[in-house]
Amino acid sequence: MEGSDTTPAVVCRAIAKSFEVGAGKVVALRGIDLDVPLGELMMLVGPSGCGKTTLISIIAGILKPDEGCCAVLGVELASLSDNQMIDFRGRNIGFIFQSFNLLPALTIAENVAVPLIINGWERHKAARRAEAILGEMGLGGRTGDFWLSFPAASSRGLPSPALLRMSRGCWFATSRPAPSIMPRALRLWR
Amino acid sequence: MNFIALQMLFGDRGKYGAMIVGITFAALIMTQQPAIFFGLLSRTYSYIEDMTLPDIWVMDPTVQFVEENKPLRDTELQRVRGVAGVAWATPLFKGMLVARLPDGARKVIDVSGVDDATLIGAPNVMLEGKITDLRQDDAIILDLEASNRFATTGPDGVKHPVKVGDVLEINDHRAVVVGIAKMRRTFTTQPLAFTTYTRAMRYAPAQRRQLTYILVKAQPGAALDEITARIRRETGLAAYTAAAFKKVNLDYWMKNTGIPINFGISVMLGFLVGAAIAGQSFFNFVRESLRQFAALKAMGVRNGTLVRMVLLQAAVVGSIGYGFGIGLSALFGVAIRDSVLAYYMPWQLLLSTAAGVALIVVLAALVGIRSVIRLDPATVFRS
Ligand SMILES: Nc1ncnc2c1ncn2[C@@H]1O[C@H](COP(=O)(O)OP(=O)(O)OP(=O)(O)O)[C@@H](O)[C@H]1O
Ligand SMILES: [Mg+2]
Repeated sequence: MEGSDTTPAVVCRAIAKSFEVGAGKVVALRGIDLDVPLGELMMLVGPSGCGKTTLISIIAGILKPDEGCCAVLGVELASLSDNQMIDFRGRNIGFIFQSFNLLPALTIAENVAVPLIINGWERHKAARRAEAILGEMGLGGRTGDFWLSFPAASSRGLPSPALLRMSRGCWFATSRPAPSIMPRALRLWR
Repeated sequence: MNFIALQMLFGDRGKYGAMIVGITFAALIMTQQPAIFFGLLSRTYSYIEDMTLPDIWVMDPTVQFVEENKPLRDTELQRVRGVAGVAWATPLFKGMLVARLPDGARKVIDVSGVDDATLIGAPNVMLEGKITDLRQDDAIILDLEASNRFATTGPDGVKHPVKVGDVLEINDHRAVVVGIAKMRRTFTTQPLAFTTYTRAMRYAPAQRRQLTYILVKAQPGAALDEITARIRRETGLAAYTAAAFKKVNLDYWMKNTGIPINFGISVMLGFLVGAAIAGQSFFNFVRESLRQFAALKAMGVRNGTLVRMVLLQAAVVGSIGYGFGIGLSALFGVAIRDSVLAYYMPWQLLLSTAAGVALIVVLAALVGIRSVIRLDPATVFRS
């Protein structure tokens, strides 16, 4: 676990990022400064194409900025090697993907458990933990289902997958390794 | 992570099935064509293999294959018996003779005349009758294949194979069928008949009434190569161990027919087609899983682990497809046993198919892995 309780979750300074498109260049971010204290729910709102996804990709450590620096949980991302960055993501960043259902071959509980497995948890233990959390979210009865069969859930008064996928551009950095950020995202959403 | 890799594999039944089918098919054609080839080749020496007793075969030095039947002087038998290390030696007559069937048709038949006293060289597997029945008057034993091929069509249009008790004529001498034997098919596919040496002499035309082979058993513990060398030196004849004689036959047909090249080409084509199918199907699977790999990478899975996952998937798909492939191939072999098609699946063939499948799957996996390693995790947020 990186940082302490007083460390800010995210500190960005003068972030700039542009993409080469053909011969030209698209500037996605220009001089972004951002501070997010630990424990705060932050929502990024803006018109399409304004750079939301680009910014959270940089903060989540899956995209490198052209300029500026970004520290997450007190760790300067630019100082990490590729593998250190991957491990850092595994320990600290939860992802909710936009149009993408995670791993269709895994049950809901298994999908939620993936981040724990990545962090070295034993599979059954991780699945039990994931089931417990899903239970808290009111999804306890369906933890053995597959994502693809999930839409049926909404007819039984369970949160619909649309809710789970509400995350266009939503991301989380947590100070504790979470089994999956999804349930917490849900809790926060409600 | 192994669990996740396997679930990714098994999760998509359709793709998983297609991949298994692809690799099964590849393993099947990689095994089946060569098995027919080896089966065909093994027929060049099946006659020698069917004679299990002799250690050493002695013959005219110019013999190139077992059906060549070059005569020896009868006195050579005694000379061979005198060679140190020889436990026993028996005569064998072998020649193509013309048989007249009960319905009057004339057919060429490959007649073996075995030692009257010991019957060494007579068939091992008798379907009807016993080899000692050869001691009866004018007795011959027919191979099952010969009995079927000599079948006569009755007035009712039904085919009647030659059976025990039927009488043929070989070179104007009576030949009574006393038994039906099961022999392996030979490369020259002539119908086989067995009788005693003395009777074979009578059946043979006057100028061919001579010994063809001398079958030799070495004394227990004697070195076969030394004995063959000694026989060669002392008699001037050719002497081969059974294994070496088999090879003489094999080499003759390999060298003098287009079979190896023809089959080599079809085996190669089979391998390429199989490789293309197996490689393509696995590569497609990896490519279609790239989004999932990208997600895992974003969530903190290192390249090394992703590579291990892909290799595990390759190993599982490869092994299962291989198992089905050689299984089907073996079933094919069982289905065509006793037919004109040859089939032989030595362990070397199974090993080479395994290597072939492994090579293809690993190559496909490596190509897939390249894209997995190059994956940009940022793609997970792009729709
Ligand atoms: N990989 C890329 N290559 C080229 N241009 C890109 C790339 N990623 C983003 N862009 C461009 O950068 C700009 C910002 O994109 P970004 O996806 O961050 O916007 P967004 O705010 O997330 O939009 P939306 O609300 O539609 O998701 C856009 O003009 C986009 O076309
Ligand atoms: Mg976006």
